[in-house]
Amino acid sequence: MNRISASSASQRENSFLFLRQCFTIAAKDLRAEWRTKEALNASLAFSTVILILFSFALDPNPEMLQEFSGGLLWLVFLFAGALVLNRSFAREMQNDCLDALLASPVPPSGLFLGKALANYALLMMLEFLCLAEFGILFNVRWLGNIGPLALVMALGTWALTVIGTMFSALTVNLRLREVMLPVLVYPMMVPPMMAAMILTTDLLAGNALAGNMLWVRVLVGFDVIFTLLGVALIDTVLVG
Amino acid sequence: MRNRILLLLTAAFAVLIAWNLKNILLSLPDEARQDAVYRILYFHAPAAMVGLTGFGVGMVFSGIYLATKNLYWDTLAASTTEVSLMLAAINLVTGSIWGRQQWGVWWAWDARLTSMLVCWLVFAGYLMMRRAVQEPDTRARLSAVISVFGTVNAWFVYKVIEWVPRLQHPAPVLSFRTGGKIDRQLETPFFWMVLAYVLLAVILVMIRMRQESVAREIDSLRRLAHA
Amino acid sequence: MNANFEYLCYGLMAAWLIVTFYVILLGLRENKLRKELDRVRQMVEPRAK
Repeated sequence: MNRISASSASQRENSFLFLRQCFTIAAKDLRAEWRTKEALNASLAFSTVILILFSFALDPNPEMLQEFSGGLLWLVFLFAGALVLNRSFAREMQNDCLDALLASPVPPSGLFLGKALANYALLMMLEFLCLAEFGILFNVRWLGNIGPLALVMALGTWALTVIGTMFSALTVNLRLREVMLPVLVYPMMVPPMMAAMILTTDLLAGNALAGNMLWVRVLVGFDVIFTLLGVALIDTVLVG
Repeated sequence: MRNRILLLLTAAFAVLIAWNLKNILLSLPDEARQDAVYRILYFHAPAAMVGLTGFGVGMVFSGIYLATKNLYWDTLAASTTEVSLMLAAINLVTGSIWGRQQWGVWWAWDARLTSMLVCWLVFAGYLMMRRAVQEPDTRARLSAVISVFGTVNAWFVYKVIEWVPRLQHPAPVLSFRTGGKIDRQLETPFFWMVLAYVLLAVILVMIRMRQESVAREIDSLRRLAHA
Repeated sequence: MNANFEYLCYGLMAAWLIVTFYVILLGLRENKLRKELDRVRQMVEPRAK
């Protein structure tokens, strides 16, 4: 075997290894969460309460709702999502699990992506449940536009996941972790939230996605840039 | 030596600000549509320019810390960010007051105001986080990461809202920007004001750095006392 | 320079107040640091003797 194909074969092997490591970490987190369902139950209960409170406080008629349905929905996702994201690295603090993970052959970037994938799965599950509740409480039909809506939710949730997982790692050792995470994450989430809210409001009103491709591009751009930044800087945050 | 430089800079700042204020308030004519209140521009826009540059400079210093692991750069980054936060606050408050007079609202969600507010919130979080961490190396590392994320995000916010047509904030006015058509007489005090703000920022950063070196001396003496 | 003078005043006052507030904050921090430095120096000096 000549040298060039040997090195490309080993590169392929390394990438497969990296992906396997990410999926192992993701599977571990999802399994741990599925057995206890702590974060999922807490965030689901929290989101239900918020939706009910909003329904009380605003009591919107269909015209009013057409203006801020997206905004409302993403606010709920943000608040409930913070609970899930906080647990992400916090659960590793017991019994020095984080140190064990860092000492393992998994690189910090693999750890970050694995946890991000697990958080992503949990958040998407949470959001679809919230969407169903939202439809019931506010009498909004969303099944018609489910394809584009799912795409917007997927892109927006990845933005939240990447930023949230990164700052969860950052705040894991701080005293006021539960307060610092939202304080740091929410301002950073302004661009993707703006895009997601505008897109969602439009989609829930029954319009097509094609009219708002600018915002879709914003979401994609944000996701790409901050995923790369996260993977590049997670080493500094976790190890030094 | 450092004190002498500080005194000199403060004197220069005092003279510059007094002279420029006199120009702005007394020598310039009133504007066609806005009458006297347009002069807030001379406090509002330079604060934004110097403040945002300060955040960017802070990010550069953070980057240098990450490369060299020398805590001096981290202290410099934190001082610069703190002073820039003050300048950004000036920008937000004067902008709000000007907006109230011009547009009738205390706040509007346009490109520059929103990106400045987001910047302010992110870097206020940066300072909050610094207070929560005692260990200097950890604090420096985490601050550097937040600084990078915050600056990239602020740029992103600005670009995004610029693409959205929500016309309230006036377009660029300075002569060296495309579309700027400001009168020469009105522009000169603007540049002097930018210089004044830069001087102010440098003075405050120097004072802050001196305080930080005193704090480090206290730390080392404390370690000696408890040893 | 007559019309809209009121808001111009508010704007300038706000800018100066913010700067003054920050300088006072720096001053207070300086005082606190100086007191702390004296206290720690006193702790170390008897040991040195």
